[in-house]
Amino acid sequence: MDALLPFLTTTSFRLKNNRKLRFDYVVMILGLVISVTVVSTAINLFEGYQRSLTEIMLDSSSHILAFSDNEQYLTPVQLKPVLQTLENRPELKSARPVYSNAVMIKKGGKVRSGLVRAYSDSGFGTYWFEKYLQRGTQKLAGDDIIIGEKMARDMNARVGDLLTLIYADTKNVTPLGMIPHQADYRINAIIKTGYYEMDKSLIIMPEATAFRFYKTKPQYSHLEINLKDAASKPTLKTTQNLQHLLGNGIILQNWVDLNGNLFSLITMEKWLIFLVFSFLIMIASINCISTVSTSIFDRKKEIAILRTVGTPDHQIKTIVYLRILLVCSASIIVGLMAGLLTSWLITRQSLYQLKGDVYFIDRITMKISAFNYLIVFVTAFSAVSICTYLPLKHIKRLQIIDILRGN
Amino acid sequence: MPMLEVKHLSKSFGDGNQKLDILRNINLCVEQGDFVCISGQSGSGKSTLLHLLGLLDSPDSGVILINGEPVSSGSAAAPQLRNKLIGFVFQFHYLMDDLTTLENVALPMIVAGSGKRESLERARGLLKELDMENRAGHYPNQLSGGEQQRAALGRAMINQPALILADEPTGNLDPGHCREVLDLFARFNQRFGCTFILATHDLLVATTSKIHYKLENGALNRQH
Repeated sequence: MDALLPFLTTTSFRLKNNRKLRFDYVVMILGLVISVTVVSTAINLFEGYQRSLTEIMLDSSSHILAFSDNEQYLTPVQLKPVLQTLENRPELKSARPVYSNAVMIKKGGKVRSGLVRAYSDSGFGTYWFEKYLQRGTQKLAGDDIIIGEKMARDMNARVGDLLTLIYADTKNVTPLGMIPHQADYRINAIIKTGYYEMDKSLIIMPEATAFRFYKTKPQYSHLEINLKDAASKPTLKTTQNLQHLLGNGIILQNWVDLNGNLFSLITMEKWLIFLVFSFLIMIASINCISTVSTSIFDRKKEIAILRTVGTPDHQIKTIVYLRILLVCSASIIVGLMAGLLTSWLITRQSLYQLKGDVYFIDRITMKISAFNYLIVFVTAFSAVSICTYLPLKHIKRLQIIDILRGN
Repeated sequence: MPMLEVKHLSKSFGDGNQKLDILRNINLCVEQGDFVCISGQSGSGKSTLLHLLGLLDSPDSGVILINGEPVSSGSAAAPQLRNKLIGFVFQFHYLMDDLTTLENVALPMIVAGSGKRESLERARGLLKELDMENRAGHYPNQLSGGEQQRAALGRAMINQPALILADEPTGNLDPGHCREVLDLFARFNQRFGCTFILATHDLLVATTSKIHYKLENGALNRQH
């Protein structure tokens, strides 16, 4: 057996001029290649979506939000000791008080809603939007603002253009009703995070400008804290530690609490899609049953010869089994490669892109994960192994005498 | 002790009214190195007898003893006996289409567990004996009928078995190739001392051997 298996395996795959691939073999191979391609493409794209969304959300949003426990704004006096405490924490990347408020934006005849965020200079660490700067500079002064790329496109606005911001001033109610407060601001930079909501509605302005526009004293909606390691476990641990340090006056909320369900849902959806598409592999594997049965029937003369020269049935089974498994494994690997190529092509095409308002991001991305590839390979290989093994019992039932007399 | 002994061997096919007794109470004794011919008309049971002797089929009753030991096709040792002790040559050569002549000849030795290189080396030597050295790399469909049968004999001989069973080995050959193959059998019988049992419907072939049995109506009768 030691020499027989490699001997018969190598000779059976030898290229001969008169050898033609049987139709059922072609169907089996194509079925496997196509089904594995579909599954691996789906997994690559879903993994890409999941990773991109996580990355963008964690990069463009804070990892931990700190609020006042009485649902009021945080004052600079309140924030000073908090920031002093946080500044010494090695696990933190940045912490910055933010004033946030709703706004209407007008340019020409176009009006959109938006969200103003004014970052305080009193925090520490880098500003998150630095890495997403597409055009212009991040240095803000006076009446400069930074807006999202989608908003800029919607409003047909460029760097240097003026945008009119309108705010419904509830404190300024006259007998004629509420008088909106409005002011013009110059676009200093445009950022593109890839996170649809952010790119569509965000307006960043200096805190002093924001306080002046909203006619408010210096106060902050919340404190944005970013971590060096934003994975879910360290985030939960840090939140717990910080909460203990900051006491009951500050309430902390982390991204796991805020978006954990969304990420769990996406992960579940990915594996559900994998499960559904795995049925394609199952169907393709069922082809193996008929292919192996036909192969045994077609090669019964060879089987009879092997038995006649003393090969035990279990060795013949192993030889047939491994030959088919070798072909199937190669088909699965080709399918995985084709999945890689297909996913790459899908990310490069421009005919269809994700709808940002539905999927949060508006571009299709892919991510290759060794674990996902292993799961697809193991699933396909297991299905094929079982379906190949089932018809092997026919070998034992073959009667050498009938075959030898059949000629 | 005889090399092969058959006692009260019977075999029938079908059942009830359709039952056909092919072999009835066959007794046979073959010594090491004998060259035995079994003749009979087509359908007389020659192939059935050879299949039973070669442990490819099991009898309804009776025993087969090889070197005094009872053997049966269903035993765990049967594949090993077929590999090492018995060699087969059929009317239709039954060479494997995917293997070259050299590989076909080496196959039983590889099945026996020998290394590929060693098996191919011995097969090359046998092909030289068979005067087929120049056909080693050819596939069965590239060989003539006589060459195919010679290659089949080489395959049967590779493990130096004690017993060669040849079922109508010349049935498909023209007289020239027929003579050639029979001469080869005789030469191998004398040179290696292995026992040959040859089944044929051709009386001319049968009468050339020292021991000749005729199978008729399920009974085996010695002619000379």
